[in-house]
Amino acid sequence: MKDKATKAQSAGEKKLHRKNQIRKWAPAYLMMLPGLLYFFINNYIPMTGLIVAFKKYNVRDGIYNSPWNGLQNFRFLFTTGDAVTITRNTILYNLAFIIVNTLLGIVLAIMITEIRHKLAKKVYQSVILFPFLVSIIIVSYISFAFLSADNGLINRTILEPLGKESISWYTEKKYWPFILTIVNTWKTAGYSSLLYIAAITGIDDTLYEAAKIDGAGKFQQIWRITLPSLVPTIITLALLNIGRIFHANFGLFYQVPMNSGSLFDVTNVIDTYVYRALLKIGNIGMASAAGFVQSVVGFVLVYLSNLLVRKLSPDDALF
Amino acid sequence: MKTRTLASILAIFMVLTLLAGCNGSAPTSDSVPSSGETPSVENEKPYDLTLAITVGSDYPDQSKVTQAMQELVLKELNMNLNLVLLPSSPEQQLMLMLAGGEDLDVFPLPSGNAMSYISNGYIQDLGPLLEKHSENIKKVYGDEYNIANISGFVYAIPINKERDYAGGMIMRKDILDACGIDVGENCSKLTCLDDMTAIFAAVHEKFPNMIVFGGSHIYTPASIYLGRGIDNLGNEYGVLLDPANDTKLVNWFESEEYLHRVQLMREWYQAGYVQKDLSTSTDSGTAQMRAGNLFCDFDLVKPYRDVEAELATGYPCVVFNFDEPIKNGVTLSDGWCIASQSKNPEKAMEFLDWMYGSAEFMNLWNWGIEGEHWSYIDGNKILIDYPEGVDMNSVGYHQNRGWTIPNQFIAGIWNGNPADLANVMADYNKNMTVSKGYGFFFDGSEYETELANLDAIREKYAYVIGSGAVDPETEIANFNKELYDAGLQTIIDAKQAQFDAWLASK
Repeated sequence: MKDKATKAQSAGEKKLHRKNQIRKWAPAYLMMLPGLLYFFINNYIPMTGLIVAFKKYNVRDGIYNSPWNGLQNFRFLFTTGDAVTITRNTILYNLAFIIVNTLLGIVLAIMITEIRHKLAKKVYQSVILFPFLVSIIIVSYISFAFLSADNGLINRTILEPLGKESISWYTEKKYWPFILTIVNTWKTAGYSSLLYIAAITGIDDTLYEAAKIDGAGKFQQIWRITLPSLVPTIITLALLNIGRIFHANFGLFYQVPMNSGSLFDVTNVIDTYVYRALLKIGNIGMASAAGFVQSVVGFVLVYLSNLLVRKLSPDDALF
Repeated sequence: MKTRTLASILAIFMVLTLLAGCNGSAPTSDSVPSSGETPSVENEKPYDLTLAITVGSDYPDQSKVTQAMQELVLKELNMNLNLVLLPSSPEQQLMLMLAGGEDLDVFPLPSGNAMSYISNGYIQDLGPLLEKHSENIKKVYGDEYNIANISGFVYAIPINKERDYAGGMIMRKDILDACGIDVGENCSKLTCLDDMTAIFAAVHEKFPNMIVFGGSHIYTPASIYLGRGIDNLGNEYGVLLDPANDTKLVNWFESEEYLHRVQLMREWYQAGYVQKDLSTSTDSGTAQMRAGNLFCDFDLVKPYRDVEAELATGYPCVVFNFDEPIKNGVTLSDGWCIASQSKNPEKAMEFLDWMYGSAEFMNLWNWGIEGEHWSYIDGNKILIDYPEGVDMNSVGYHQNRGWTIPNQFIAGIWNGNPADLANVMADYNKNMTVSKGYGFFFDGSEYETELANLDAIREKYAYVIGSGAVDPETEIANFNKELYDAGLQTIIDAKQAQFDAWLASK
């Protein structure tokens, strides 16, 4: 009897406690509400539109009333002879970009945080960030200024004075994996270093002081303190990037090679293929199908890599 | 406690403003029309009509001209005109407007998109609407007023212009003279495309730094999908090589004529006549010629094309028409449509029909405001030119894009053309060879997977091969192999079956 009474009492207390808790945090919940609403309206409601990937869409019937079409919309992605090429290009380029950007981002971040002169630090940081803010169209014309067969900087001022044959860059496949990687690195390395700079600034200074007292040199400090502290950031960023591994940067692969047909074998990625195939036909169902595949593959990859991370170092897993 | 109350109030306030924001954006539909502008004759509220048009370049006086157009439409039709300006290749912008359901009534159909616009439900069937408003359209086209249809669905009213897509070489006359080359009146001394080789060689020798042949990658004799004296019946996959006599569809990319043109381009490219970056160039030949370092480009031609070229480039030009003009149905798909999201298709049709009869509107659209951007130079009020003190560089508005406006021939005719240009064009259209497929348009809505893959392959090969940048021997074989792998034969067979059925029903 007594037990029951205490139980009832404690249950009542718990309820009261919870009530108090809710009361206490009510303003916080309320403040969260606009964000949640925004998230729901902007990110969840549109997801119902995914069914358009399975429909023969026409504007008159709208998304929900258009007739069903089974998996027809997905066929063009997989029946094309280029399916292997575009998948390979998309994944390999993105992998290369993830690796190069992470490495270079960390190196740049460490170098910049080591600069003591305040003004110089700001200048360097801004200079390497600047390309990230330049529109890809302008980037494509900057590349064109280098590569143009008639008037390009490389042909005119480097190859010709050296007595070498000028190169028709926009028809020669073999150079493009490198050109694209260089252009992408030039454009985005500054941004990824920015994230690592933020992480490095957050590392406790006392660690470095202690290391100094123990007689650790600069490189030992970087190796033993900076890098290990960056691991969570590296993993989070890598996971986020892996989630988008099936999404290629359209501007980079379409604008920078100037849409040159003879380069398609090394520049065609899923996004550019979909654009070229559907520009004339304008089939929204087929375009959505492509986006659907990209998202599903991205989700699966994030999930798998997270599993892997959880196995290796549980603290760093995202979920 | 105080801070928490404050926080709660703040939070509530934020939520409320958010909701209020949702509410406030609802359109106020019953707003009173501004009193001064409403014509007194009709009490009806003016219909808000959205017209999308393409423009070649921005002109400083655009807003002035737009205002004049709006006043005219309000006066004559009691409609509020909302003018949307699109770039000269508006496919992407239109796709967004149509798919997004933006306000749109009347818009230009990008040639070749008729089938996809019908199957996506983007456009209205004009057939029933034409029964109500077709007075001016019938004046222009007579019995052929509804010829732009696919199995009965009237998708557009064609633009009043030439009914063929013949290609030609446009050359600068001053350079020809400097090289001492005489091509005869209207290039009568030239007979075929091969004759260009000698001219190119001479120009290249005399002006080694000049780009002899260039332009945009789409416009070379071998990469364009229009003209060539053939009829492609709506898309490139299966064409009539001899459209006046034969009804059998074949693959253009395996034909002798295609191979010949590609080899010529390759020969010119290797000789150094061709712009090196032609396969990726997006600057039109006209723009490059105006800039001064281009001798020749390829473009679609028509009677008095040389006058148009001189107006656009600022250099005297001669035009060599080497394609036989063929009256074909693809030109019909260059037309004006009514969007399916139009709130009042009947009003839109009334407007569309009115445009084909309003010289004043056509003048405003193509040439600008009379007295300011152009003025009549003859008593009959037909020929026009720049007003005194205004020229090509100082004029505030001068589209000169007759081939994009509904009915250019009722507007003023620019000086240099004959005053009876309308009759010249009518004769040109009447006398040209008619394709057996004139009026037929392939309905590929069942074959979108194949067409999507074929389009992607065409993008990959057509322009590189067509610009001479690669060896045609190997590339054409690869091109055709990929096309057949992607289902070219399926499309040719389906097209042939539809075409045969159409021929039988005639």
